Amino acid sequence: MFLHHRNALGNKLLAALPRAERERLLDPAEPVRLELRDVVAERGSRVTHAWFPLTAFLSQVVPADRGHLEVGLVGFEGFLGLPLALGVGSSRLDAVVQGAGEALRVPARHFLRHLEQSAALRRVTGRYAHVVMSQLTQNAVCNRFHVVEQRLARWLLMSADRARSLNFEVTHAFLGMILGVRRVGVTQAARALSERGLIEYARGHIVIRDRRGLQGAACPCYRIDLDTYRDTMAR
Amino acid sequence: MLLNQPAAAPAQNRLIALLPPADRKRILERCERRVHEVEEVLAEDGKPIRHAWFPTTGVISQIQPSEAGWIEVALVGHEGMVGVGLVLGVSKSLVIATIQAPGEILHLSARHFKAEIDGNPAFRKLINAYTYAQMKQVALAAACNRFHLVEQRLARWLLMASDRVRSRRFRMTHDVLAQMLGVRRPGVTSAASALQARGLIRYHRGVLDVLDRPGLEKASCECYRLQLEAYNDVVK
Repeated sequence: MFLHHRNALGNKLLAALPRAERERLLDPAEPVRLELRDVVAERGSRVTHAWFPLTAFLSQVVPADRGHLEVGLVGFEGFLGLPLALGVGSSRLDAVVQGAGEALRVPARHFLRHLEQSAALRRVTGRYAHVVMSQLTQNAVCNRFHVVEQRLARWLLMSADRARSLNFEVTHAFLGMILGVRRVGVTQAARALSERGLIEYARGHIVIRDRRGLQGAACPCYRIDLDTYRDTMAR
Repeated sequence: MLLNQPAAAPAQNRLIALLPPADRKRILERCERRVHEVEEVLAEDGKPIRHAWFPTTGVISQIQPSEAGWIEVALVGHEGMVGVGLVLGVSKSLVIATIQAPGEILHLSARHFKAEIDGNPAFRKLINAYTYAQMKQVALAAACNRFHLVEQRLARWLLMASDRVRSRRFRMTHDVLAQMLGVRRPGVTSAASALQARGLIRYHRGVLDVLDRPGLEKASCECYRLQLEAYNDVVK
């Protein structure tokens, strides 16, 4: 149990709770190792746990004609379980593991009981819900107007933040699905970014060479998401 | 710009109508009833949310601006509310909220709204659930904008608008449609012509008639149905 509590500070929402409340919330929590492509929540199925990623991160996706499109990315800065926080029993979105790693999961019933008792938890989860809403509205604009190269740069930055690393694994086919474009579109965009010396990409392995340059190549959505998170969670 | 038909009975907002009678009465007493004209702006992105807005006959578009263009992320009428940030503990608006169809909107001050949220579990539960349904609507918009053809998206929008004005006839310009869908005007014109050629709608002198509703549902992307299902599942 002490192990959980120390690890728990790796999740920013848990870290924002007063210590005693965090310990009560995490009393029945279990650490879980999430592997790439694990499906943690499925549309229409009952939500059994609230998930607090520590090193793992997950995509929230909606089904679309050619597979799925990502509408949100959740890592150590957030949690998965908004249906619970908003009193809805089942999820309307799928969640798929994008970066393998650790998460703490809290049984739904315990999470709900704690939510009733803890104003701090209600505050943190409510504000995080606003962050997610902001990400969703930003994506509605981004998917319509921004070119693949900008969107790829944004996604790589968001993933690097959540992986806390400048290199990670991801395939073309997968990026195509996430960005909702054909594979050849991803190939061209990745080549353009690497020709500018911003990334290296070979055999499914991404290395970000110039983070600042990549920020310049990304659409403004990356910066807007960060600002919204900071402004919303800080108050 | 939608044209409302006068309602036979006083129109209600469904969220408020779902509350127990005593709660409903108290909340309605605290609401100010106001009639709004098309294109009035209720909230702006980054500015304080002063009220929770519950439409009865009016319809509100929530629009996300960006440097590259604007796009509608949610259309809200008597089935919902605008100002869900307040229930999440946030007092700034994410989006622009503007009147799409003239009509009545109930204004509940942010202070009264928060007092109800804090002191009234039934209200909190309902508004939380609606917030989730609105999230789903925005998530669908994000995917819909990427994948679906203008013709499908136009059909979807016309169905949503028709539901919210409670009428198969409303006033509409191609310019507004183009802005809501985030496409150029000629794109809207050709999509509307295609729907008209199939006998699903008629558009004449700025008035739109839905002629074949089941046909229009088939012409729409599945986002229309998915959104209705999500709403009906959670808002009870």
